[in-house]
Amino acid sequence: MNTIINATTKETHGGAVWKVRWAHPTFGQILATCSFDNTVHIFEETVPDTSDQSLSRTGVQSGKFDSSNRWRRRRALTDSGSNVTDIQFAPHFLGLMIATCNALGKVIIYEAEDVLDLDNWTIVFEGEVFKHRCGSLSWSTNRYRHSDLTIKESFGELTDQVTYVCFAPSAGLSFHKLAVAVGARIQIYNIHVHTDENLKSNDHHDYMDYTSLETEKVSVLENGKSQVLRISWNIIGDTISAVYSDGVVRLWKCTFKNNWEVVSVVQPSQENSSKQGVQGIYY
Amino acid sequence: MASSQLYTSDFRNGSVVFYGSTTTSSKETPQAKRSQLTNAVEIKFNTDSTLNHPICHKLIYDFHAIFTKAQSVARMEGGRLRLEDVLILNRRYRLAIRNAVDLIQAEDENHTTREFIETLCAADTLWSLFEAIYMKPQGRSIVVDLLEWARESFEFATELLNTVLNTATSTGTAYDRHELYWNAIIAQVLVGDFTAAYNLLTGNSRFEKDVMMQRMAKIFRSLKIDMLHDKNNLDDFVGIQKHVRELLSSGQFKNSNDLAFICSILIGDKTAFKQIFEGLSQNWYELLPAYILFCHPGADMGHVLQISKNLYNLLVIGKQPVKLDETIFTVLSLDYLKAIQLICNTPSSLWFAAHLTDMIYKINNDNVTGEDVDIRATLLLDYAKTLFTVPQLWEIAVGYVLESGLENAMELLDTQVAELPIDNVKIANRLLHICQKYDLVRAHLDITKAMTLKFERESEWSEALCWAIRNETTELVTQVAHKVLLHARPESISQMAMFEQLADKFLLSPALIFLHKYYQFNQLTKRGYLQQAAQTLCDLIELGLAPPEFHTVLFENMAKILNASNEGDDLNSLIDRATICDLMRRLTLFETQEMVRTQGIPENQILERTKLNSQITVLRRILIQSLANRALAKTT
Repeated sequence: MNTIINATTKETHGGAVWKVRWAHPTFGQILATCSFDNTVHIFEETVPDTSDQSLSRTGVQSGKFDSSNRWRRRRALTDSGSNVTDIQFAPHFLGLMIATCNALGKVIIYEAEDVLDLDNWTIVFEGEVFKHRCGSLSWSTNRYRHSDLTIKESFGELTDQVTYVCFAPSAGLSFHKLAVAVGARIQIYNIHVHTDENLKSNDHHDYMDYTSLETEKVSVLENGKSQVLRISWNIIGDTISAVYSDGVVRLWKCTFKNNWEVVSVVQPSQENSSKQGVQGIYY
Repeated sequence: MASSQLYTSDFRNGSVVFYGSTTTSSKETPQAKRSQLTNAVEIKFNTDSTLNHPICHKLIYDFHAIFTKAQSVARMEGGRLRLEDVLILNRRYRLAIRNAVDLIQAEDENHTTREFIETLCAADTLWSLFEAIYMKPQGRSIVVDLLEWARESFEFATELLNTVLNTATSTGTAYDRHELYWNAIIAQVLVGDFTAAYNLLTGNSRFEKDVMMQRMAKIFRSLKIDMLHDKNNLDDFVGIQKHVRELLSSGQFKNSNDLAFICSILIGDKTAFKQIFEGLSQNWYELLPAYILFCHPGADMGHVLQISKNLYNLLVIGKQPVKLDETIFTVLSLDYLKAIQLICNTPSSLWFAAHLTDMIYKINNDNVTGEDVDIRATLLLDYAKTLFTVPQLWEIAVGYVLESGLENAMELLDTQVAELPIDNVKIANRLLHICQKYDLVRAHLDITKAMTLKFERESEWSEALCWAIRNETTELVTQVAHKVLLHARPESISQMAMFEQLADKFLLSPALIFLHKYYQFNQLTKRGYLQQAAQTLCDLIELGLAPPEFHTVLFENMAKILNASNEGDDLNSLIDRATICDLMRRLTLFETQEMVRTQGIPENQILERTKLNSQITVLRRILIQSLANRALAKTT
C-alpha cells in the first residue's frame, strides 16, 4: 500500500471544512475548500523557481513529490453569506469555474477568466435556487447537449432528504443521466433537453428561454434501510458505487437487460468495527 | 468517538482504498478534535498484474489481429460469418491462448502466472465447449460434438499417446512395453478416437497371438462415432455395447485386466469412470463426453445438463462446484447469456468474454437468442475500457470501441481519449496521432489546450505558443500570444525559431501576427537590415495590438535604432518624414490613452509609469533629431 505523506497543514478556515475539491489537472494543481465559516478558499501548489530541470513542476502531471513545493492560498470567496455546503469545479471544457451552494439555498458560480491569475474570480451566476438548504451540486459533463447544466430543478416527488446528486459521465448520450441519493434509495433520472426552434430563432439569446427540461425516472436502487451518503459513477455510466450510513459500500451495475443489481459489497472488517464501537457513519 | 469514511481511488492502478477515521480529543485541549486515519482497506477491482504482463500483451495483440480479420471478413458478408470461417477463427483464437500458456509455463512460476495459466486453460476449454454447443451445424448429435470437444480440448489423450510413442522411438523398445501403454489406449477411448486406439492395440507386439486383443480391435473398428449423427444408427451402437457386455460377462477378457477395464468403460460402467477419475483424469468434465457416449448414447441437448450434473455428483464427492464447473453447467443449459455473465465476473477474463461473444454474434444461428440487447457492444466497450488503463494498449482499445458498433462510439472515444493521462510531450503527441487518425476533434482540442496551459504555467512561452497553434483556436492563440507579450522577455521572443516554420498559421490571431512581426524585426536587426527593421518597428507601433506594457519595449527599440542612425555620419534617417510625424502623433495619442487608463491605479505602479514617460520623452527627442537630420540632408 502507498504511504501517505503529509505535504502541508493549513489552518485557514474559521470553521469546519466540509468539502475539498481538485480542479481538473489541465489547470494545474488547484484545490478548493468550503467551510462552515461561509467562505470558499482557492489554493494553488507552486514550485520554487529553479534551473534544475529534474524537479517536478506544477502542470498536467506534477510527477514526483518535492518537499520544496508549496501550497499558497490564492483567493478567499466570501460572497456566500452562509455556511457553504458544497463546491464543485465545472467540467474543464467550460473553463476554470466553480459552483458553490450554501445552507440558505443560494448558488453562486465563479470563474477565473485568466487561468494563470487565480487571484481574480468573477461571479457569473448568483441566485436563490432553493428555499431551504442546498446540500449538493453536480455538473453535467455532457458537452454535446447543453453541457452547462447543473442541478437546479427540485423533484416534487422526493419527500426524503436528498443527500447527494451526481451526473453520469456523458459517454456521448443524447440526454443527461442523473443519480439522486434520497434516503435509502438511489433514483436515476434521464433528463432530456428540448429546444423550441421558433423561440430560438426569435433572438432569444438566453437558452433558458427556448429550452425546456423533461425528466424521466428510469430506475430506483434500493437495498436495505441505511441512508445513502455518497454516490459515484464509473467512466461509462453503467456502474454506481454508493456509500451507505452503515459503513458499507455497494457497487450497483446496470446489467445486460438494463436492470440494476448489486454486484459487490464492501464491508469494514469485523475486528475494527467492534474495537471502535462503530455507531454509524455521518459526515 | 465518531467516525467517518474517506476513499481514494487510483485510476491507473485500479485500486480503491477505504479509510475510516476516528476523532478524539486530548486532555490538554478537550474542545479541539483531532482526526486520525485508520481502517485502511485496499480493494483492487481489476487484476492489473496480469494485464501488465508482457505475455498478456502478446495475447492481446494476437487476439486483436484475429478480431480485426474477423470484422473485415464479416463486413464483406453483411455482418455475419460462415460457419467454416468461424471455426477457423476459433482455432486461431485457441492457438493464441495455447501459445500464451506455453510461454508462461516457460517462465518462473509464481502466484500470478499460476492464476493466469488457470484462466487461459479454462478459456480454452470453455471456448471449444461453446463451439461444440452453439457453433455447429443443425441436425448433429450432441454426443459426437462433445467428443470432438474432448479431442480438441483435453490434452491428456494426446499427451499420453505422444509420451508412449516418443519414448518407444527414442529408446528403441516396443511401445507396448511402456508403463503408460494401456493408459494411452484408455485415453483414446475416452475421447472417442477409436482409430488411434485400434492402431495402438494392433501395434502391440503380442497382437498376432492374442485373441483377446484381436476381439477388442474388432470392437474398436466397429465403433464409428459419426454414425450417431443419424438416430437410426443408435440401435447399431447399442448392439455393439450389448455384444461387449456379453463378451465381458462370459469371461472372454478374464485374462486381461486392462481389456476388461476397457470393456467396462465401453458398456458405461460407472465404477470404471470413478476409477479413471481417481487415476487418470484431473477434471470431471474431461470424462463427460465418454460418459454421455457410453451411458446415454442417444442423449440430445435437453438431457445433457442433467447428465453432466449426475456425472459431477458421481465423481466429485463433498465439494461444491467451482466457477468453471458452474460455467460449464450454464453453457450446457443453453443459457449462453448467463454463461457469458459468469465469465465476465471472473477476474481478467473480459478479453475472453468479449471475443467469444463477438464470434457468437457473427454466426447466423437461430439457437443464439439475442434477448434484444447488444451484449457484444457492451462487452467490447468494457474490454476497451480495461485496455485504456494500460498505455501500451491505447491504440488497440480505440479499435475495439470503433468496432463495437455503438451509435455514440466516436463521441465516447472523443471523451475517453481526452481523459487519458498526459505525462509528457511524447504521450501527448501519441494521443494526438490517435486523434488525427480517427478525427477526434474534441480530444485534440483538449489535449493541445492542456499542453498549452502546462507550458504557460512553466513559463515555457515558445512551447506554449506552439501548442496553442496546434490547437488552432483563435481564442487560445490570442490568449497565449498576449501572455507572451506580457511576461516573456523580448530577447526570448527574438529567439522563437518556431516563427520560421509557421507558414500562414500566424494569421490565426492578430496578437500572433504582432508577435510574428516582432520576431521579424529582431531578425532584421540581427542581420543588419536596419532600415527594414525600423520600418517593421513602425508598423508594430502603428498596429496598436501590443499591450500597454509592451509599448515600453517598442519605444526602447525604436529609440535605440534611431539613435544609432542619428549618431552616424549619414544624415538620412532610417524612416521618412511622414513616418516620423505619424510616430510622434502616435506617441501623443498613447500618452493620452495611458493617462486615462491609469487613473486610479495604486501608487506602487508609478515606477512603471515614470519609466514609460521617460522613454516617451527620449523617443520624442530622438524623433525630432531624426526630423532635423532629414531636413539638413535635404538642404545639403
